[in-house]
Amino acid sequence: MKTPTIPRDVNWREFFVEQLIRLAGASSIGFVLLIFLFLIREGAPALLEVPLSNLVGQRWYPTFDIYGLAPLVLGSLLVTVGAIAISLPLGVAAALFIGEIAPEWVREILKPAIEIIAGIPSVVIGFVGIQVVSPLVREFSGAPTGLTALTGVLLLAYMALPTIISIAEDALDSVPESYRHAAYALSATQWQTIWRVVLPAARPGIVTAVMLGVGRAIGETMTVMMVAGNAARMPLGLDAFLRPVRTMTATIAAEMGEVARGSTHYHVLFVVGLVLFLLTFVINLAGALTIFRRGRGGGGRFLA
Amino acid sequence: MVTNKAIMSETAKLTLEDVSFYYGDESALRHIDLQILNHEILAVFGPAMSGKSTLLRILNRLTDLATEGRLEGQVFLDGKNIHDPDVSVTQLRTRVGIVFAVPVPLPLSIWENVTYGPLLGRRRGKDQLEELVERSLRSAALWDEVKDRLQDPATALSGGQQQRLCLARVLALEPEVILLDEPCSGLDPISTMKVEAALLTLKQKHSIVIVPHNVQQASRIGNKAAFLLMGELVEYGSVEDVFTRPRDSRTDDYITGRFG
Amino acid sequence: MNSSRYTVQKVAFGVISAAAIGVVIPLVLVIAYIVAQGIGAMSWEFISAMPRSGMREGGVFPALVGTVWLTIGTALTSLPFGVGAGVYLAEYASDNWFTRTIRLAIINLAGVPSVVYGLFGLGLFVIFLRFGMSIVAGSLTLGIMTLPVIISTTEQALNAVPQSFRVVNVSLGGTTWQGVRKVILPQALPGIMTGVILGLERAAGETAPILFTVAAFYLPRLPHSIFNQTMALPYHLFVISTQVPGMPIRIQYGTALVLMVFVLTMNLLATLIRRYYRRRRQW
Repeated sequence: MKTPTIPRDVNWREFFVEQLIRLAGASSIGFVLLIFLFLIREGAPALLEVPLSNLVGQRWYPTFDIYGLAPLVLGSLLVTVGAIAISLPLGVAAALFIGEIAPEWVREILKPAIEIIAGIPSVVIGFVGIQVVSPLVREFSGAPTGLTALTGVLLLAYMALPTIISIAEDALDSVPESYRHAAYALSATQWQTIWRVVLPAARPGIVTAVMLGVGRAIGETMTVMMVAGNAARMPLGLDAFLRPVRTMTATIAAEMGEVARGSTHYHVLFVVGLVLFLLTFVINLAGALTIFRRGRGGGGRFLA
Repeated sequence: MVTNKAIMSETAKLTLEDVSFYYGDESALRHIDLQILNHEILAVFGPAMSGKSTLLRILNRLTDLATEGRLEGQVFLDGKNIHDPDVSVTQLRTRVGIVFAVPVPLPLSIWENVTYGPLLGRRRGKDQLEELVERSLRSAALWDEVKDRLQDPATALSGGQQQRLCLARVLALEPEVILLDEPCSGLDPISTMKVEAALLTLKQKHSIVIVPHNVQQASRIGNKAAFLLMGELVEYGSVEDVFTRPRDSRTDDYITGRFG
Repeated sequence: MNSSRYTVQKVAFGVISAAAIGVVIPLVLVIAYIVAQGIGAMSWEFISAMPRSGMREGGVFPALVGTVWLTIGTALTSLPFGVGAGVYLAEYASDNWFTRTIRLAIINLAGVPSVVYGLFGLGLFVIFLRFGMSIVAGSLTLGIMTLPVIISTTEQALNAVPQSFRVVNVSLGGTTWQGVRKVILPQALPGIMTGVILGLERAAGETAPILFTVAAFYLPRLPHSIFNQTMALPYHLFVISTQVPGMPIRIQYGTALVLMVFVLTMNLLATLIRRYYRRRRQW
C-alpha cells in the first residue's frame, strides 16, 4: 500500500529524506552484490590453482591437495533429503492439525511453541544432539558411534519443521472455504474433505514449503557439524545414514579456522561457499517465485 | 451535454471545462461543464456510480492517487488551471478541502486531529492554535461537546461526532472550497441536522460542493443543483429550477423516484 | 458402510494429532532437560564471573557480555537499512524493475547460509577493510544477515496500517513523508519492534557468522573497544561441548541454559509487546 504517483512538490527536505529511503531500499541489492563479489574475490584463485578435475573428484583430502567437492555436496544432499523426508509429512500433519482440526485453545499453545522452536539456536540443538540424541542413535542402531548422518537428519528435520509448518499453514489457509463447503454439501466427512479436496488444492503451496525447507536444511551449519560426524567420505550404500558424513557447510566451519590465509585450501573453502551461495539462491528463488505467482504477499514468514 | 455557457460567469471560484475522466478504459465522467460560485452550495446528485465522487475528487486532485486515472479537459480555481506545473498540489488541497462519506479520524487525540492540517505547513504559536481549534470546532457544531476533552482519542467519539470532527479538521485549514461526499450517510437525523445547519452557516464564507445523501437534502440546503447520470451532466441550474421545472425528463424521473 | 468412513477419519485424525503433539514434545523435553541439568550450575557467580581453569570453573560473564555487545551492534547495523528499505517498499516503491530487483535481493539475502555470511564477513570486514576479527566485523556481518527479517517485518507492519489514513493525510495537504512520519510509522512501530526483537534474537544465537569474524574462546579481559575480539555465548557453548576435554557436564548445560534464557527472554519480550499494542490499537 502506498501513496503513489502524486506529482511531488519540490521541497528540498522531503526530497532529501526520500532519497535516503530509496538508498536504503537499494542497499539490499548492494549487499547481495558485495557478498557475491567477495566470495569470488577470495575464491577465484582456487579455480586457477586447482584443476577442475580435482574439484569434481570424489575425495576430499586437503592435506594432500585433493579437493574433490563431491563427498561434501553429496553429504549435504543426503542429510537434506533425509531431513525433508521426515519433516515434510510431520510438518504438513502439524499444519493440518493447527488449521483444520485443533480447537482454538490448542492452537493458542501450539503456534507460540512452534515459534519458540524456530528460535532455538542451532548450537543448542547440536549440543542436545551430542548429549541426548547421539547416544540414543548408537543404542538403537548398533553403529559404532552416534555421530552419524542419521543423527544429523533427525535434528535437521526438527529445525526445518517451523518453516514447513508455517508455509503449509498459509497454503491450507488460502484454500477457499467454498471448496470445503461444497464437499460437506456432498456429505463428505471432514477427513475426506481434507484428503481429497483441501490437500490437493494446497499442493503448490506445500511444494513451496518443501523448497524453502530444503533451503533451510542445506544452509544449516552448526548442528550438522556437531553431530553428523565430519568424515568427508562419499555417502554411498544403504548404510550411509549410519555412518559419519560431512556437509559443505560443516566443512567450511570446521576447516576455516585452521587454514593459512591465502593458501589454496583457504581459497577452495571460499569456492565451497560460492557453491552454497548459488545453490541456496536458486532454491529460495524458486520457492519464493511460486509464492508470488500465487498472488499471496508471502509476508515475511518464509524468511523466518 | 447541457449548454450552460449562458450562466457561466467570469468570477466563478471553480470552473470545469469539458472535463472527462477515465479509469483505464472506462469513462467515469464525460464532457462536464460546471461552475461553483463563491458563497454558494452546489449539490451534485444522481444515482449510484454516476461519477459524483469522482467529480469531487477531481476538484482537489485527489484523483492523482488513482494510478489508472486519466483526466481530459481543464479545471480552474480562481481562473488558474490546477494542473499547471507550477501549482503546488499540497497547497491546492489546503484551499480545497474534502470530507469523506465514512469518517476517518486519525488515531490521535481530538486536538491533534484538528491541528494536523495546519501543522503540516508552517509552525504556529500555541495561542494561534488554540484559537484555530476552537473556531474550527465551533463552525463544525462540535465545540460544546468536546471542549473539555480535547486530549481524548478521536476514536472515542460517536459516529456523528467523528464526522463533525472531520469537518472541523478541514475547516482548520481555512479552505476556500469545501467538498463533502455524502457526509451524513451514516448519521442519525439529529447529527445530520447539526451538519446541515453548520453548512448553511459556512456557506457565508466558503464555496461548498456536496454530494447529498438524497434529493431532499439537496433541496434543503443547496443553492444550485447538478444532476449527474452515468457520467453525464444532465441538468444544472438553481435548486428551484432543477427540482420544480426540470428541463430533462430523466431529471424529473429521478427526482420523482421513477428510478433510483 | 457409513461407519467405516468415520473410522477412517478417526484413525487419520488420531495420527495427525499424534504427529502435531509429537512436534511439540521434543521442545518441551529439550527445555526441561536443559533446565534440569543446567540449573545446578546456576549461581550469581556463574553469570557474573570470569572463567577459570580453562573454562572448567568460574562463570560465563565475558561470553554473556560479548553476546550483548554483538546484539547491540547488529541492531545498529540492520535497523537503518532495514526499516528504511521497509518504508521504501511499503510507501514509495511502484511496481517496476527496480523494486522487483530489490525484492529478489532480499530473497537472496534471506537464503544465504549463515556460514557463507561468515566467509563474506571475513573477506570484506576482517581482511579487506582491515577491521580484523572484531566486534565491528561481527556486528556488521550479523547485521546484514538480519536485514531480510527486518525489511519484511517493517513492510508488513506498514501495510497493515489502514490505507484510509494515507488518503486523509494527502487530502489535508500532506506529503508522503509527512504522513509516514506523523501517522503511519508510529502506528506500525509495535509491529516493527516485535519483528526487530525476533530478528535480533536469531542473531544472538548464531555461531557460524561469528566464527571467523569476531569470536574468541578465551580472552583474559573484557573487550575495551569495538575493534577488539570478544567471547560470545553460542561460540562458547560450541567449543566447550566439542573441544575441551574434561569439561564438567554441569557447566556445559549451564551455558546452554544461559543462552536459552537469553533467547527466550527476547522472544517473550516480543510477544508481550505484540499483545500489549494489539489491545491498544485504534483501528
